Amino acid sequence: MGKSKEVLRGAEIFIRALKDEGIKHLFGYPGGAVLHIYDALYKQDDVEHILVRHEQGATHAADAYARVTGKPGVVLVTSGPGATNCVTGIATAYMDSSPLVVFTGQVPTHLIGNDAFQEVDAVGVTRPCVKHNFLVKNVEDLASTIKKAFYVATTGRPGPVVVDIPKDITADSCEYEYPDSVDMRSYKPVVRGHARQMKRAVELIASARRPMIYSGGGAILSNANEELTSFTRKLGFPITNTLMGLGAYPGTDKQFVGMLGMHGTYEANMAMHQCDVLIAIGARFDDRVTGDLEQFCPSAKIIHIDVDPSSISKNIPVDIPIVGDVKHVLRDLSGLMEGRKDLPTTKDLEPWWNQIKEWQGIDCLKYDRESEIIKPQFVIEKLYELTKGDAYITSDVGQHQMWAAQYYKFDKPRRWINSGGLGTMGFGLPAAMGVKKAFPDETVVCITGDASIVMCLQELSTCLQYGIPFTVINLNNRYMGMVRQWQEFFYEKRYSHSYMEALPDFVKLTEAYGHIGMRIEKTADVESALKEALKEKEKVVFIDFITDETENVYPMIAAGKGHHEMHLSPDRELA
Amino acid sequence: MRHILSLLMENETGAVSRVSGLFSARAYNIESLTVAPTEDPTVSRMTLVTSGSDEIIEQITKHLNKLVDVIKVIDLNDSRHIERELMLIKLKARGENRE
Repeated sequence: MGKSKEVLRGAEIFIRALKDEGIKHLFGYPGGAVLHIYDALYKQDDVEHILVRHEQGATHAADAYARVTGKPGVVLVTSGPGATNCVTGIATAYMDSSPLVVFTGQVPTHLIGNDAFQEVDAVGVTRPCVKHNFLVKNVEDLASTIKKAFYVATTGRPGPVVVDIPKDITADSCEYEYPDSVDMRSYKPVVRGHARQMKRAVELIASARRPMIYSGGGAILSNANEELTSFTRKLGFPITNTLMGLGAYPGTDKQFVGMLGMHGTYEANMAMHQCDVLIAIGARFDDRVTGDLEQFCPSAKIIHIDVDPSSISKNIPVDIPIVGDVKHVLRDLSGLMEGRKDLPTTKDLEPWWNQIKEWQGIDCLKYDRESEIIKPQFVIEKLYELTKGDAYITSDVGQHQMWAAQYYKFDKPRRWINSGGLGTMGFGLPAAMGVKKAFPDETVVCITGDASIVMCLQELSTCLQYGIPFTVINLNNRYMGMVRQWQEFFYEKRYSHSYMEALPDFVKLTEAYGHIGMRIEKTADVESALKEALKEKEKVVFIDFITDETENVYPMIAAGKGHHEMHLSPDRELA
Repeated sequence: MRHILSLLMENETGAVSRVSGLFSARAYNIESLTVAPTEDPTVSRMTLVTSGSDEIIEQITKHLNKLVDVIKVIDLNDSRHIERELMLIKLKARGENRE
């Protein structure tokens, strides 16, 4: 009955473990410390390795792959600079709670600490920006460590895990056994909410007359969009999403009042400011959302549902904390609400909705649609129209990111892929690559700016090598847009180092990488350019839209201000 | 307020670094710290003294619990306990001063 176990070398154990874990794709870059693993990769077909051009590209691609599929993204890099080149991507995944498993090569065990060639203390360097990390010291521990790494990365509040594997471990042999399950006594994430807390929450919901539902990235990570949608619809409450939560609730639905926060809609922020009951679901009260903490939701009682206890009452003390997995808690709450006759009726909520409709009447996202100079908001709206709101959109960081979030209405989760927490410029292009690799038949678009796009541009080669096509929309305003905006508002227009001089000819540059480039300078040409680009099936199409550099992102809550103190665009008065 | 936290954690290299890294990353202060294996050699006990308001201590405790290596965290201030300090004093004493 005892199956005689195969004796394998560490490199082969690595591949076999990935296969047993169900991993189909691996983004990586070889080097001395991982040569044995790359040799084993060469001899098999089960796991496809995508060779990037910079390890940062591998981490962003794997991160985006994880964000759209819900499965862990996997990276393989060598020691020393290979590992350090991953730090930005790991921190990006950490801030957005993305399940990433990064395997870094390491110098042989007897050389660790010796300042060996391409040696770095990967565990030490990444410690502050990972959920957990491991250094494998014996080949006997390799399989179980890999199992633990995937378990930690994907459960509870997901996060990146780094596994540092010394080269001699990959050459040593032992019997291969991949554990069916893993039980870690020191790590037991909570799934079900506390029954008494949930009862209290339902009592509070029943008493609400100016309620607000505020849901974030956690609702998407928990795959709770259905539960969130039915919970919200049943209650008839207004709902707002954070930047990371867009798509968890249909953006075109009439109960959705837009994104909230620093660049959120007027109606979302005003409703937050005046609500009496706030239901926070899978969101962490980040500073971009809350504005000045002293003035945040001054009259609200707050229910907070989150899988991470350390997020609860971190910035804002809450009245009813519920620790648990969002999907399960929402299900249980809906069950408790079943048959109750005292939930707020449509009539009870009518005055609140009337007020919200008044705020919506301000039309805070209005801009000059007649302009001949291309308005960046126009490009996003046209893209939304032409893709019927159904594309996968990745983005870099800055004004273009905010416009994409404001003007592209997401009805489905895991369609909007951007670096929210860390705000990493350079994320967009490799992210689009990772998304398209996960879903080769879907439309994928990267919305970017002239400052961000050059940071990971080298991945265009990877896209050519593996036939990964998508559209890149470069909203080129010849500035680091968001920095320029802050310098205009708060530094009396002293544009210190935010003007992008010496920009390359993006069309020639794209063509040099083997793809298709276009430059569009007139509003009248926007639609046809987008249509043409979206038809392309083999290569990346880079559209360099020359946009109006004076456009700013509105509304805006300045630092230290409350939700009710928004700047609106200069051509309108504040109500 | 001064709090004494007693942790049980996996006896692995780097476990202590994780705890001290957590404190330094968030600018919390460790006033004193001691760590040693328990009767189970795979488990260590760390006792540390820190100070802060109730909210800060709550955050520290939650973050410590979040660490994958940490099995259990107890705040000794929550119950009556006996504290004992040991001071080792090194004296310079030569010849006749030694009496």
